[in-house]
Amino acid sequence: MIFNSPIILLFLIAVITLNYFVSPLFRSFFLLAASFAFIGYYSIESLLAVIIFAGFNFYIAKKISGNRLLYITGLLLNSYAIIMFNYFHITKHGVDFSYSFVSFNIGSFVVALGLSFYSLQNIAYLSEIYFKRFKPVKNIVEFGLYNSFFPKVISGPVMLPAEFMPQISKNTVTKEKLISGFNRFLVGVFKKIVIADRLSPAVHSIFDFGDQYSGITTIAGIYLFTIQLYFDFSGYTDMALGIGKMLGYDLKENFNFPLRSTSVSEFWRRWHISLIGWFTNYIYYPLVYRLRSYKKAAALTGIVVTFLVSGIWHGIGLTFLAWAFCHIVYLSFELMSKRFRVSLSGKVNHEIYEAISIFIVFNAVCFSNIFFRSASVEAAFQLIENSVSHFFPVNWLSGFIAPLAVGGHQVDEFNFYISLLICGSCLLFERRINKLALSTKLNVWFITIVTLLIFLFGIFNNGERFIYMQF
Amino acid sequence: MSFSIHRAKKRDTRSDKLEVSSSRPSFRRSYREQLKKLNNIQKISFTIIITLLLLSGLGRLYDFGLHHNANIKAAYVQSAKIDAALLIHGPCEPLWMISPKTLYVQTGIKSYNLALSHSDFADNYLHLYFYLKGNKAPRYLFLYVTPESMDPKYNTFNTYRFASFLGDPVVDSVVKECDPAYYKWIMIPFMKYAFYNNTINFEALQGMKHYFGKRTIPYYPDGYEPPIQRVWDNHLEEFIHLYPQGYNFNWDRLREKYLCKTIELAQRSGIKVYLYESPVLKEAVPYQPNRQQITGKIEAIAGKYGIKYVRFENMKIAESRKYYMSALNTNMEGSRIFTDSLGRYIKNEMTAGN
Repeated sequence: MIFNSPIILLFLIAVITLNYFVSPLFRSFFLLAASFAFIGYYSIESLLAVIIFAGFNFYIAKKISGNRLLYITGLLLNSYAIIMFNYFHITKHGVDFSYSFVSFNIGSFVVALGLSFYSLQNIAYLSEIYFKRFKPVKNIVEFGLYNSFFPKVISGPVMLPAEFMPQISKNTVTKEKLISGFNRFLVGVFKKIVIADRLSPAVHSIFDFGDQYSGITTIAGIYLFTIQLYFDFSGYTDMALGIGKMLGYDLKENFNFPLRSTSVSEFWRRWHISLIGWFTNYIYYPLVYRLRSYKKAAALTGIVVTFLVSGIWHGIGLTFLAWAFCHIVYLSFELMSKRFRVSLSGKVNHEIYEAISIFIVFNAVCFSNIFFRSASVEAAFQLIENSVSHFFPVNWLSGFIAPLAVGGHQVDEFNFYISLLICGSCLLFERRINKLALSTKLNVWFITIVTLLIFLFGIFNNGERFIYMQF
Repeated sequence: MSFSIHRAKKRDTRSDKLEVSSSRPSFRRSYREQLKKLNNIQKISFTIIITLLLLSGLGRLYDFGLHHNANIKAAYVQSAKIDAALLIHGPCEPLWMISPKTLYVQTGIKSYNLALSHSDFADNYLHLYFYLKGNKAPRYLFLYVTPESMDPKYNTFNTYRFASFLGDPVVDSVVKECDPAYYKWIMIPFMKYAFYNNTINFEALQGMKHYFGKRTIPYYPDGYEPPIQRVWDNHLEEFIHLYPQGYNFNWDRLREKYLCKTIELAQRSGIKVYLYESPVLKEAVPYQPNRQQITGKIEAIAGKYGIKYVRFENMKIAESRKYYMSALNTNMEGSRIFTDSLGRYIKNEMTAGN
């Protein structure tokens, strides 16, 4: 696990403190060095990968303007890196790949930390320059920082050049930024180790041994996975944005209460915003623009291609394609039924319509996530089959509570109820928590209570890596 | 008209009240105002101090709870006068198999089951140390040792069981050696409990409940716990699926070290030590190619200390699954038969004058 491991916490304290005192002139040098140290600590191969890719894209960008061949070469190489990353991830499935390689070889090279995230940024950079929307960066240090800025290198957020580059020269660290960043970071740690990591054993139990459980138990496990994924990734994002803020950078928001979406298209405007923004800018819009004469068919094609690419980006495997297919179906249905839905919403009480919509969207997302989490498509179908057979367990304690609590002891039950209580409260008071996390004021009691909750209920000994680190 | 006068009067009294209350601000309001007046550095210092104080307070509360939890063997054996003549020790196999009541029928001596599930020898060593701190040394110690006990894939050192006993140099040295990742954190207030809070929260709360309910006797007063799972658990099938060619046991040096330390601690206290192995389901043995070799190494350790390594491999129950829950754990009926045999063995040893 990264960001909340002790050595990384010490590293963060040192970097944030020094960065505050370093002259703005040398800040980008300092942060690049810190980023290299961070990536190098993770693995030397990852560091070499980021240096090589940054160097390659920096130099190619200088000569790319008007050179179609060079542009396509750049795109292909960056895309190839992403595909190879995912391919090698699959072949090394089950292995802690970050530390599994000791010698320098191509296998270790392509499983470099965050490669599929900064490759997307590099594609965006090359495209912006090719289409003359952005001028090539002259300073390699600045470009290196765009690639390797450590708060975002692990799993994003994916930043476009126009969003990140101007911040380098204007970088300022204020007390407000430090406080706001710290609040955000603390909430991120809480989401990750108090909520996501606590739900992890239940999800593992249902997804990996689900054939033994009844329908409702399986469905509860499926719901919990979506909630775990949300808190894991939004927790990571809060930590990344918090650290970025403390270092003087405003990174892009990735989540905007996605589990309250009333449509799947709204869900994708609220979930992993930076990645979907990238796909929309560089795949969906160009495609729909080219096919604009076909009207709805153009939009449908855009949806299909965007989600197929998104599926491949997440991993080369039928499970991710099935996940993408689910969303293609949902979004296509929404596109085709837009008029009907608008007229229906006018006839039904607004609150009821919204509540039903949220419920349907949440279930649709959970259903697609079965494929996202399962080891194979067969396993996913098996889980779906289980979720509708023997719906209620014969014994609720052994058939429902024990599998989700991962054990039949009182202590397991106690932990499970605590997890549900914390998770439910956080979902209920999500907006209020978010407001406190974004606050620029030092709220003594907020910090104290969150810290106490982390100490009381955080998983320190056996925490999970961030789920999105695998992509 | 009268209504508006009445309203006006009411407003007057309210403003009077307000004036009175503002001249004598409540503690809460004055506290908030004071907090607002603090600058950031003062607020940070205040937050750190408050957090540290609360964490230290919680630490004390957990210490109290854990020391009063009658179900925690480490706490119970130090506070209760058990003074058994025979100790049964090891991981879940002896814990779930050997009932001191059944042993008493055969031997006529008081015994206590000190075993704990998933425990390795370092865990066993510290529990024996705690027992000897609070009780007279027993005459006999039967310690469960099998090739599985020497392999780090089986059982573990359960640090959380010792969190409330840190500060004792013996405990500190074992914890430092067996769980260095944990030991690095414990200088932070409350972290010794926070690190394994998933287990400790419940135990501390249970301890409070025991204290307020004046409970001093554990749920299992003689230490023996009947198993929760009492039917065949399919672990052997999973094992064979995982290792169709069989699994070779590893020999862990740390396990060996703490096995020796446990024997030495017992012998220093004048206890006669027996290492023993309960019957292993015969159909599992072909999938463990080096079982005999590892058993030989255990016998060598027993020889080094001049003690017996008693193996019950030839018992009839080892031939049938109907007496087992897994390859190593017998079910209730199997346990009763085995405990009878063990009791007879102990009685023979006693009559032989050992």
